[in-house]
Amino acid sequence: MNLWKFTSIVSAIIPLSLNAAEPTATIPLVPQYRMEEMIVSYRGSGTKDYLAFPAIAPSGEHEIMLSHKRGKSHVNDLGAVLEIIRFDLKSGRPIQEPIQLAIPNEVMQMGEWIRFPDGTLGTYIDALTVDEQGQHKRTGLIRAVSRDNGKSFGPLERVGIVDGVEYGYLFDSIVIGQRLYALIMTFEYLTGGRRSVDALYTDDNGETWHFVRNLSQEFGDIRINESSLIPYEEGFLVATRGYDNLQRLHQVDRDFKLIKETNITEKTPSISSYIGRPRLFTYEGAYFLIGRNWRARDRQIPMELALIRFDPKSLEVEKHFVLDNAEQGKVTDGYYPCPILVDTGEQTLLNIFDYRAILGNPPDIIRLQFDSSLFLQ
Amino acid sequence: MSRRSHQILLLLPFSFILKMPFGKFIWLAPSLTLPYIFSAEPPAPIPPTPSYRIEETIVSYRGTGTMDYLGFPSIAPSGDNQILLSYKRGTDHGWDPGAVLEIIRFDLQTGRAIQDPIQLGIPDRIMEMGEWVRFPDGTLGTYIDAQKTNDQRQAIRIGLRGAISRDNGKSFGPLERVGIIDGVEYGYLFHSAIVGQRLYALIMTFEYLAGGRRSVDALYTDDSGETWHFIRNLSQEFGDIRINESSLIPYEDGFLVATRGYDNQQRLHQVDRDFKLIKETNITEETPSIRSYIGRPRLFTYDGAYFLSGRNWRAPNRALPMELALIRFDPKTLKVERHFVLDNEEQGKVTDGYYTCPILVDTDNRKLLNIFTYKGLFGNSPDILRLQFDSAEFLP
Repeated sequence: MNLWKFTSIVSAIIPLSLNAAEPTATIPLVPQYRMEEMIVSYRGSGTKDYLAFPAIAPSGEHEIMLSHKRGKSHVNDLGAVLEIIRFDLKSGRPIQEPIQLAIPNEVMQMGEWIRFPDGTLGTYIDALTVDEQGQHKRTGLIRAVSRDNGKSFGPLERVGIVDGVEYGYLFDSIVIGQRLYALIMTFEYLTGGRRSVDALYTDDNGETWHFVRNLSQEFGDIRINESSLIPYEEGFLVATRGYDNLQRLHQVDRDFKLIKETNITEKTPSISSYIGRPRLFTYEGAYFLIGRNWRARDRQIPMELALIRFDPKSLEVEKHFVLDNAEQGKVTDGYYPCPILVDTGEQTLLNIFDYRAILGNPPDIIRLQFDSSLFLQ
Repeated sequence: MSRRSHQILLLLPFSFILKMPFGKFIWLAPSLTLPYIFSAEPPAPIPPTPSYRIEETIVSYRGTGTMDYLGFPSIAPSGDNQILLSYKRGTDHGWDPGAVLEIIRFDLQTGRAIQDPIQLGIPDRIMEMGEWVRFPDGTLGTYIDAQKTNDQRQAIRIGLRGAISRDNGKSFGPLERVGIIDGVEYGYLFHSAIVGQRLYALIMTFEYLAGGRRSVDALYTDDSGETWHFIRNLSQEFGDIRINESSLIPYEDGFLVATRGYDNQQRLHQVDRDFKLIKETNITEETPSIRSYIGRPRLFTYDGAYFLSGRNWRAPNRALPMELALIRFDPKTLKVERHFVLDNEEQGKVTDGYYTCPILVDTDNRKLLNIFTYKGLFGNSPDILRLQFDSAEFLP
């Protein structure tokens, strides 16, 4: 064979070798329509370029309040602030100058919004310090309240002791009538001396809180962290992220007494660990859990953004969609999602506000949009 | 986070394990696991990526049975906010006798197909790389790089085929062999451009077809494809380089041409109206983020800026997965001004894809750059995709 012919044949064969490196793997369920926007980018913002842990609260027609951490890194991040913007869901643009909440020499981590029954808006922050060994220590849950729908905020205040316990990290809340329920975590080195996720309530818009139940104990003395709740029948559904790398769904009554539960990690081959920052939500009668998923054991495959539809009666997984990183790219941090439905007139879009970093860089705050009907089929 | 702090985080748990009670270790361990997510590799620079993007799967392989390989889309505007979109429907990338060219009409506003698919095929032959030509008289032609395979599973061109539509894509005449042009039979038509009533095209011939040479030639037709005329052998004109997929766009009194070299080099050339070389650059040599040719390069322009799009390999020897590249270049110097990544900047397992077709779509709010392309993951058959971007993001 002459060189010319050989070159020609080799060149013709090259495209096939693109595909032959690894055996064919199954593609998970991915939505057919998807919009992606970078809402806040770290690029060019200087040193405080680690943007993460978004939380959202509806604040008017087609607008939300969006908070996120602005710091230097995922952990060990003294001086990190909570930054708040007002965001127009239609135009995709911020419509209010950013507000920053901070305490010098502390880390403002994991801000979570609460809209109280009287309309007051609060942001609750998992405030941290970092000791000389680089260990995180919660300094106790703090909050800032806005009485003008997020235009301004009062000072950051310590929530303080509730029934003998100081809390650190508020995960999720829900209003039923005039009562607001919340899941909040306390830590063994704070007043109370235990690490548990507790259910609490307030009847006076956050002025006073009351303990309902220690869920770590109620669910069988399991060690749990980030959790979420949603009303269901006469009580709630609760999702818990276990320190044992297991993700559980629980049905409880109004007093947070366990009715039944499932371990979806054990039962779902595509979920090999807990779901990071799990959030429960519902629309059109369907129930969903969303968060960061590890598809393979020992994190051999990069993290994905998972949307899991489950049957609220049986707590069994019906469908597991991948909303981001189905192609297993180098997403190195991310996926604490906040969902909200947006009616465009033509369709109802499921909007997901999230953070994502690739190739080891600091993350951006992003918005993903999907045709919500795709997840009902 | 610096590399040193990564190392410290990795070491931390072990220094504490020796001193602490077991119960306390269990609590601390989960809180220290997060940094492990990020410590596998040092941070790598993120290339410029657009901040707004819509991705739609237009045609999916899933559930379609055996003919589920969808690739090589090509588009032609066919009315207000609509295009004709063709792609191969077969069983694999290039060795699939029986593969057909499938044509749909697509509404750019609704994102839906608005005409039943039309399939063009020849029994036991491969209908590869359909390319649209809209002639000055409005006639629409699709030109197909028709192939067969031999016993060694080599793809052999059987000569360029064309099917003509005189009703704007509602129906097509029979697939016909384009035949011999000035002693040469061609195989693969890459791209065309109209200047006045003349249509120019870049077409490739192969050494085993009539003519006996492998080259990319420039041709023209003045009668809307009835007869074609040879202008120049570009492989020879550009210095006897061995080239394959190419693209052209009018510029000043001639054209700009992009060529994909068999030597894994991507070149940009400026030529006059007779395709005589004026100047050229090798963008692979000059651009660290482009380490090979650009697969199925396409040139296009809007708002005074010039672009090249196609499949890019960022690292030598394909050490990183393929990306969809959009390269803005200066038409005067032919130098790269900006290299954007439109897809797979996160280096996911894209195993096939990124032959691109761009078109601008005006919406109420903004002008969107639509890119029709194909993409396969994990060695699976690809889907036909539409990506949309705010076109202003790519302008200087």
